[in-house]
Amino acid sequence: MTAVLECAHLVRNFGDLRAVDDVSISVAPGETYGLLGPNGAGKTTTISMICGLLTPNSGTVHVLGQPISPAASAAKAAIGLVPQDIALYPDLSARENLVFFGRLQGLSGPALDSRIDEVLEVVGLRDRAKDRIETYSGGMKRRANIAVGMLHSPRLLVLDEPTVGVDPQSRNSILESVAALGSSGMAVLYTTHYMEEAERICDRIGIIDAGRLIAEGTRAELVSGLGTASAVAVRAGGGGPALEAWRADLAALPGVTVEATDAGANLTCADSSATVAVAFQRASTHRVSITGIEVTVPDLEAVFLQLTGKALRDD
Amino acid sequence: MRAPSVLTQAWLVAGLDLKRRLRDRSVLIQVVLAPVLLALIIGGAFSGGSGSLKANIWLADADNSPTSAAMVAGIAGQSEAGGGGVVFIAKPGLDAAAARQAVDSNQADAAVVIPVGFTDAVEAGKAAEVDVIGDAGDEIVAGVATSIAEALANRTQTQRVATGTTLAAAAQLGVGVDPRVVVAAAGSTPGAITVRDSRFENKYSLMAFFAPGMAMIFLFFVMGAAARSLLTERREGTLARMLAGPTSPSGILLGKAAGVLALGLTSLLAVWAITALGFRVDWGDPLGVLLVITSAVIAIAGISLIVTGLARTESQSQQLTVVLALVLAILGGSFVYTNAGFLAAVRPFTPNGQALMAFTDLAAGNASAADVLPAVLILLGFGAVTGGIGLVAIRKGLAR
Repeated sequence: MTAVLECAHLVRNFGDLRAVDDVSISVAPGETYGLLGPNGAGKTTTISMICGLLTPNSGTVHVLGQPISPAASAAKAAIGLVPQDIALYPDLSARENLVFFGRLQGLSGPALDSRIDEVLEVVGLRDRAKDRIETYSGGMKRRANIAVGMLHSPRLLVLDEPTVGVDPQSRNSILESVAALGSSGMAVLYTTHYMEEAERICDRIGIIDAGRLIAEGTRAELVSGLGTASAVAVRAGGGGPALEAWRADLAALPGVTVEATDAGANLTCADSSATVAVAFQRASTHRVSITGIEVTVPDLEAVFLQLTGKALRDD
Repeated sequence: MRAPSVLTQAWLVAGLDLKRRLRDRSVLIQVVLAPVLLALIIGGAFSGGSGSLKANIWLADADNSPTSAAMVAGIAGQSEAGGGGVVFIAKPGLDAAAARQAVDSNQADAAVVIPVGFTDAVEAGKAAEVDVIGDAGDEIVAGVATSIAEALANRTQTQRVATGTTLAAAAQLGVGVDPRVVVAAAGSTPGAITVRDSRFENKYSLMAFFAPGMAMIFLFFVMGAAARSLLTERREGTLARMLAGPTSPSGILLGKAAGVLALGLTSLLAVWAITALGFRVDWGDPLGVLLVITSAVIAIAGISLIVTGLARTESQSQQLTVVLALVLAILGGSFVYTNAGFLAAVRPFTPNGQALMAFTDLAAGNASAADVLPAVLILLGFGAVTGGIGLVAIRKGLAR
């Protein structure tokens, strides 16, 4: 299937700083691609080049096979941008904002009116459509911001950290809306520094740091591809030879390492479910009673930590 | 779904700008109310409470000769019937000291003094001086008095030549002529003395001077704010949102420029309409007024665009606008309109000065639309050059 977005070897410098360094991304129809990275990683710069707001120093961007440039109006018409900051006229109502941006996209008349009603319904703002944006809460402004981006039914929706500073309820609503858009066949490029958002809604994830795309794939591919192990902390009753024998038995399992603790053992393994099952079975054999288990499954945070040596979030 | 044409984009951008500006009540105050109120207040202050200039100017004839008496009589005859406007009062035998006392005690607003020996100096072909005594705080009345003095001086120069020629011709013909009779006859010629500067003519309404003057000062602020909206949109992200779609930079720039022009035109046209209909101020030939308004708005729009193009932030743009507006208002004569000195010399080189001169000529009834065409062309040229530079600078800022 032809990719909706295809960008290859994008580079952008600001003076001596290389903000984006050889980034290549491809997003297929119906796919939600997450660009995950800390603040200042180069996500917004990458998006600005994709939307034709910044000219790359080198590399290319194609949307629906057409090259993107500041003057490529036809290709840009296929993109819907939801900027990181609220890019709306605060003294106008949500409907007035939608009418203005819709007309700039070439929508008019009844088609525009009905489309406005649809997107207001999707973002849950239909009953507040006539109120000025400046009277909205932060979450409502974010949702109105998204409504403008998807108004003209773009083939590619680009969302730049759309949930920053949003309350949990609004965040949930936004994530549900984005997930629904992906399901409807729209290609979505979603940047975030919230690992759980990327895990929840993205089909594929690119991890970006210091301007470079350092890893890419599905969540499972990223976690398993790096060989990141699960951690299982087991608390066991009793002690003495039985506990020692139980630990030795587990240590003999392929791919499992055992660290003895006062209350039991810390296990490191690739498959936490299987290891936990074996740990219970061998505890029964050696008459060791297990009083508690804590499983830590590796996530994108761990992947990022392993790749860069630093935490994903700095807040 | 087809992307709209550049013109449609410009129309949409300009329409939105106007809608947002006209919704803002503070803009309405700047656009219409403030210029009209300030014109009323300042016009009233200069004219003692009404819209037209009123002044008593004493013509102190210390020389008290038939020639000077004839001159004084000629000027006094210029007073407006019924005692309104500027009234010239002949004061035979009054010397400079007494005239000064009269001005200081507010018996007279200004005085023109024909000193002792004036006629003798004229007859002898020497330079004859006429003194003006005025209140430094009342420049317009002093200006009228100065105009009278200049008119007298000019007339005297003409008389001197005419008298000399007459006497020489009489001598050649062998006819005996008394020089005093010739000089007096020349001085008493009907209509010989007129107020040379029509800007200070009796019937000239000060509102017709201050209304466009004030409106143009506010025009800088109003149009500056409109042009600055581009910087605001850049900061708020709406500009990027437009540019991320099929909207072209040209469409946005055209729309912004059109919005600035429309707001400026609305402002000046509203001030014209309110002062003309509400206060019966005669701005002169309507076609001429319309041409000057349009060209002045284009010139000031050019300045606003260049400021927007050069400024990096809204605050920079605002500060530049205030400085430019005040400097140009002073240089262009919006506050103080003098006929001599540095300010008078630089006035034609400022857009508001050009416009103000054209407005005052039209209001004085001395100019038609055709007469103000040179000023209109200068203003249009100014607007084209500054606007062009401004748009190029803004466009350069858009392409990153």
